[in-house]
Amino acid sequence: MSDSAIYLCRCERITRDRVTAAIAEGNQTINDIKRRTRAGMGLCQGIFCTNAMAACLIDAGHQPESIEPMTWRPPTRIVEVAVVASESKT
Amino acid sequence: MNIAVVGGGPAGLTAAAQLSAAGLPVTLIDEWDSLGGSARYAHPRETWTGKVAALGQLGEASGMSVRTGTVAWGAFRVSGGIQLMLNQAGAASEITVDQVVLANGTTDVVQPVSGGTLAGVLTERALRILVNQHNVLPGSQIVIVGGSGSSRLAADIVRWQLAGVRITNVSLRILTAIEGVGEVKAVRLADGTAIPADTVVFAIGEAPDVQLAGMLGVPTVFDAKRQGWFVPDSHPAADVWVCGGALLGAAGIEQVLQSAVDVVAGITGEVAQ
Repeated sequence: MSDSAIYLCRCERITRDRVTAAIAEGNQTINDIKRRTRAGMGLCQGIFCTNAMAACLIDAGHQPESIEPMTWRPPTRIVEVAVVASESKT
Repeated sequence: MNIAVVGGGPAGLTAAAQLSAAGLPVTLIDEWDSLGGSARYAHPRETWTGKVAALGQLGEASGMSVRTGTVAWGAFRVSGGIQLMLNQAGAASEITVDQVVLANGTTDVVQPVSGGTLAGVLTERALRILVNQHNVLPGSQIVIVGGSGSSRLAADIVRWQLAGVRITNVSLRILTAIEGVGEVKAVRLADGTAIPADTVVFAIGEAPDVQLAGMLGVPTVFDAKRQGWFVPDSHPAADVWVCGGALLGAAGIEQVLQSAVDVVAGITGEVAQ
């Protein structure tokens, strides 16, 4: 894709067009958009793009206060698999 | 009762130092190697940074446990309280506490824009870190988008202009595209004009970092104007307290410090009962 593409989720290289198309397909929550497109599933774990996903949902007619964030799950930051593995033994 | 404070910026450091001084067992966790949070990259003229450093000394003197370079990457409710999963440079550990104070700050808001992934596009916080912590000015033709945080840069902007740096402030509303191949060359506005640029800085707001709050089941509400999710108040669950940017989003330092003082009063009030 050219530099002129509008990336909503730069970690997973998901464009805003892809997200608005997913909403039009019937994905009406941030969790649904995430599952459909992978937006928000990259290195930053959605820190920089969930607000933009919410803006797309508002454009599609959703009330702001009705928009839930994605289900927050660990890890909040990049963490080595070895760290998670050693935690699971304790 | 033992307490973990996540985030060693102005709010977290205030809360941790005061709780520890009140005789409560406190562990302060911060992902960076030194405490101070946003004070680390505040302009030297922002005199509250000295106050933050003094708080660190007060906290140490009162015997609180400080764990810098340590990321709290997960939070769970377990039978003994709240368990925080920690990662210190690859060394895993966890602590279980009765109460957690979330003072983990904000994230700069960005908006998708054509050319937003070009080299030379950064957030206001990144600019402040470059300039105030590393003494690096990223370019000579800087376009600042939005004005939410640019007042903090105002004095610097004048200084840079005197040194020959061209600074242009544009609102997000009229920004059509950032242009260039590989790196920023210009900013295109809605009226068709192009501003030559090598650096574009997003200064359109800060949103609370609510990841840990969300993992603990704290409800959050989206604020369309401020473009982020906010916890409802400073004590959204029996064992969770929130202060600083994590509660307020973009806020002045006095408001940030007051929110920490309020949380300390709340916790010590509960202990006294």
